[in-house]
Amino acid sequence: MNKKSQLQIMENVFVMLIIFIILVIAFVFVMVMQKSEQKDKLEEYKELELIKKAQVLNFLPEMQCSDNNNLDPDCYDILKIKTFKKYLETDQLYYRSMLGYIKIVVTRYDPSPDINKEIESWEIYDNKPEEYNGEMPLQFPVLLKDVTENSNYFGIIKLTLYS
Amino acid sequence: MNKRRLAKRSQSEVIGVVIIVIILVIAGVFMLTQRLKDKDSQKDTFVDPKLAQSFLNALMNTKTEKNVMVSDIIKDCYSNRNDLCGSTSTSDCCSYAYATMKNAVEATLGEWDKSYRLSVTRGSENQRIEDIFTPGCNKFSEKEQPGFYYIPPPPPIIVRLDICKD
Repeated sequence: MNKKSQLQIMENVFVMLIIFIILVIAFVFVMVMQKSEQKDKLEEYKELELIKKAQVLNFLPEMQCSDNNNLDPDCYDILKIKTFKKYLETDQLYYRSMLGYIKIVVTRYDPSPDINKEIESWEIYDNKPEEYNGEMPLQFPVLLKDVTENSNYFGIIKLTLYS
Repeated sequence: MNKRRLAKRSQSEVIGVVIIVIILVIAGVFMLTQRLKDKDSQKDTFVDPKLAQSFLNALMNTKTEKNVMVSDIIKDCYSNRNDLCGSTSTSDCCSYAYATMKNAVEATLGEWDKSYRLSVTRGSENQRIEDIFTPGCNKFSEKEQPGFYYIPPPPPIIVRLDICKD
């Protein structure tokens, strides 16, 4: 009888021990999962910040075509592009704080069957950080207007966002 | 008799514990694999919602080497006028418009690894310009916001660009 109760106590102890071990494992597991989830969220936040930066072109009326003060967001004026590029070569202070670490390149492309190639390219702005983890390229098709020749060209704006 | 019953009981208890452990291990492995699965990066899947519309607005107003806008070339194609078109590789406005649009779409959306379908239609008329598309991007595919460009006179010629989700 004494042996039997000892056995039962041992059995109870083992069951509790196993339950305790399982609970510890589950707790560690949950902690690890939560940590990785937080890391994922941080990454997602950083990516969203980058995507927000991609909208920067909407805030650059310096290059957009305008007609009676109406801006056309899908059209860029070649004359304005050239002037803005020249201006940025001398003074970048304001734009560095506004645009941050990005690169903006505008390319004119002629899709005509007998040409079909890049005609001209303007690197407007490039602010590369000393150290960066990677870059995110984004491109947008736009219309390039040459008011001096009264002509429209097909263009591509290439944004590189440094992170 | 009593001993045998006791042994049987402990056996069944051990089996019970083993089953619980197996279930827990399976659940753990399942959750881990779900977590470790490659998540689509937001930035990799980010597509500007007005990309298709911007593309059409830019392309249709572009002047080609013939100093004629792409939208006018499409209009000429539908009015059987061919004097403004023609190149070393094309003979009429329909094939000229097709080649120009194909070059533009391949140099941009194609280069950026996007799936697309560009179609030109007018009412219930037979298509004069073939669809330009990447394989797998059809009318049943999941798509981003489409772009439309209307070329008058009525019934308008409708140029539609769909960008398919990968």
